[in-house]
Amino acid sequence: MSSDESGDQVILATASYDHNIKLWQAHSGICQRTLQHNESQVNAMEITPDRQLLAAAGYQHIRMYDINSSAPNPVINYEGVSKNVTAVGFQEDGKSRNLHVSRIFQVSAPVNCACLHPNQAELFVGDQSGVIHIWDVKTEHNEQLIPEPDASIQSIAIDPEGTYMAAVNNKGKCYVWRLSGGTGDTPITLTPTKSLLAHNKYALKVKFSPDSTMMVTTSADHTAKIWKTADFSQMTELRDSSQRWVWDVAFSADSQHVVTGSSDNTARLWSVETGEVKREYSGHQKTISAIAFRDVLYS
Amino acid sequence: MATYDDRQWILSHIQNSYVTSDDTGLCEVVVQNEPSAASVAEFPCLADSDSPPPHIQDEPPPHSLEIASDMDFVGHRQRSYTDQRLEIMRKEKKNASKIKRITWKHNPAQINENELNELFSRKAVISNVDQTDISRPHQPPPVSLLTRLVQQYPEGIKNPFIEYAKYDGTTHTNVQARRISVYLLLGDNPAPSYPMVVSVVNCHQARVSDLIGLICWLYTKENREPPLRGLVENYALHIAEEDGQVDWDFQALNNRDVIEKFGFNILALVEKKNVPEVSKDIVVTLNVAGGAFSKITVENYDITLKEILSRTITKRKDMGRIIDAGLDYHLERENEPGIALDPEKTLADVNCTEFAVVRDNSKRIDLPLDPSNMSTVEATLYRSYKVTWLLKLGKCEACLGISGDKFEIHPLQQKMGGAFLPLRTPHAVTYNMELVVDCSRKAEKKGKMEIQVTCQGENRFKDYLFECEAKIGQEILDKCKHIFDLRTSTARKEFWREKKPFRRHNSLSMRHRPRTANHANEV
Repeated sequence: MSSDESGDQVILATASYDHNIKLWQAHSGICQRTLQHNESQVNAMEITPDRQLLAAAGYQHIRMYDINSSAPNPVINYEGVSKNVTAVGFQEDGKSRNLHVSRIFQVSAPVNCACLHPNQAELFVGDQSGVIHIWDVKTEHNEQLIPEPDASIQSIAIDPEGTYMAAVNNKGKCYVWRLSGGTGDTPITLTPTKSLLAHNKYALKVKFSPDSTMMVTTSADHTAKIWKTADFSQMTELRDSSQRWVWDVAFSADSQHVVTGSSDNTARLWSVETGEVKREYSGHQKTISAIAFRDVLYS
Repeated sequence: MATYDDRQWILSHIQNSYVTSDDTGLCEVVVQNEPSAASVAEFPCLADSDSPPPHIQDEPPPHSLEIASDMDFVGHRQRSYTDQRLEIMRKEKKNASKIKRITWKHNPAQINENELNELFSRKAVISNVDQTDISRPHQPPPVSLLTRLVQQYPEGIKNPFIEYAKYDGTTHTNVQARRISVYLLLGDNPAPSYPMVVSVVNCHQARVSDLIGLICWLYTKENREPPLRGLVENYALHIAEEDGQVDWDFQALNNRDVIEKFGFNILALVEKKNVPEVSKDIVVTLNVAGGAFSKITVENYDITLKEILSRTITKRKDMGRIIDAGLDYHLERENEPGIALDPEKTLADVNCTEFAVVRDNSKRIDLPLDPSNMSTVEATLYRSYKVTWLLKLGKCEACLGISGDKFEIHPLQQKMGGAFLPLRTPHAVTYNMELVVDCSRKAEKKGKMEIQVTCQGENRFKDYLFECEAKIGQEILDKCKHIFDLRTSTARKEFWREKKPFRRHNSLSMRHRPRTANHANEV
């Protein structure tokens, strides 16, 4: 697929503690390119909506790589942050402008994760003290939610339809709220819907499927679990004997496959329905800490 | 230089130079360790009133015997660490100049309302449910490109060389890769004009066979012509000249060696001419002392001789007993008696599938094979014969081992197919020669001979029927006859007493013998 235009190409990138980012041919498991991410691990990765650039958030930097060139070095380096950058994301149309607009939202505890509401205006930020901050970027109005005091929020996700918000903490618990409002001038209201013990150890990541029917949680218990959003019952458990902590996860565009990255230096492609490993991506020398995945949806 | 005025310094310098350039070690005797100002005074010519003031206490002593000059400037001077570091920094700087840097700055200026609305206003959330319900009510759910591709290649890419892709240096960055030019002598292209450049990583681990695999992987990935025939085993790497001429004087690189071992960066991939049969199982023949043999099947050529030997021992009880008794075996090439092979070597290393199993501290004796003039002494030596064991419900390949005191039947592994296969391989049988009472020819036709061997079981006589080449059959008959003549046994006497009415003096001739109550055909 390498000859295809970037627009209709499956992009799978994995970042590892070995300070490399690898780009894979997703259906074959072949590593196509390796990018250098010197001096730092990668905490989070994202692909721009136009599929041209890969953003990798590390210590003090966000580095942007050109997906379609063959250079192993970044093209843009965002700096000026004094500590780790733990989350990175783009607004849906990913406009890049020369405007220098800055918004800083100060939280008293280290920020572990952030998630933008699909209305592109509210940012949900989870911190280590267990607080979820809901920050309206435009008005800078903010609210706080504390599902479980002193249980660090590890990951927050909002489904693409904006109906649910899920947060997982370091106790393995997953809290789900139903969202309403958030369009026009009506403020977002949250209704606690479900709290479930998703894992017996640290939960690390939560994501919703693109069709909003599923939610996936990953954990230090060496598994990832897929839940139905209809009733938040468990649907599939993604377990492999050699898999270790599962640090990151991503759904395919049609919600039929899931990619996970694990401490056993391997990324895996799973079938959502059967929970089978379909492909393995091995080549990293150390833990895979972040993955970025872009699929193409045919309708 | 100012310091030349300092007599103390000059003295110290002379001393130091003497020490550092003295190879004899005499300096240690001659030079005092700590020359002081007093020692200067001993040389009146040097003691001068206008000498500079003595050194301030906290200054380091003017010389140090610890400083050793590097007298042997041979060849290149190593580049200093600073120099190397500087070059790295230069490179980084050059790379960095290509990177656009954007630094976060706090912008205290107020953003006007219009901009705020444009940038951060709430947008409508697109609901998938609404779309599917309204616009495409009965269409199947959309499929993604990934799912299509995964379905298209259900087993992944079926390239037998994919496991070698990890050695491809072009997919690594931080790892040191070695570039090797490989001329491909494949198909009808005896002299390729340009090499394929392969970049290999992990040279200290990758073996030559891995490099061949990587070449094959790149070759197949690029869909080059002609298509490859067979797997890695079918190819060999030879040393080549820069123009692609293969250096046939040298043997092919050993598949098991690591690439790091070789300094050659120009190689040639050559199709092996006599490729060992492309069968999954390799049959290894092990000739045990005296002529018995075992055939064992192994999966690949990477098996060590040690493993082959241990498999043979577990298969052969007689060897197991000897091992238990504290003796050990080693392997020799069948055609090279007396040269023990290294047990750590693999089958590929020795490139041979027929071995002799020899007990340590023993020697192989080459037996005379001419059966017609077999002496009685030779008759008692162990010999093995390959025969077909005729059973009541079929037949199987077996190996007869006959010596002065033992008669053994070892069923061999069954070849698949054939109409007369027994349901299961019969067990091996061993008799003391004393209990073997008769050996006779039952029939002979078309160069084949049927032999019947009668042995005394626990409470009855058992007949064993074998079919073999007439020549071998004759040899077996001769051998048994010799042994019978040489060693009498009570069982044999009893047998003949019982058989008296039907007794034939020539047991080797054709005969028909009715059964008695305690006489049964072995099944």
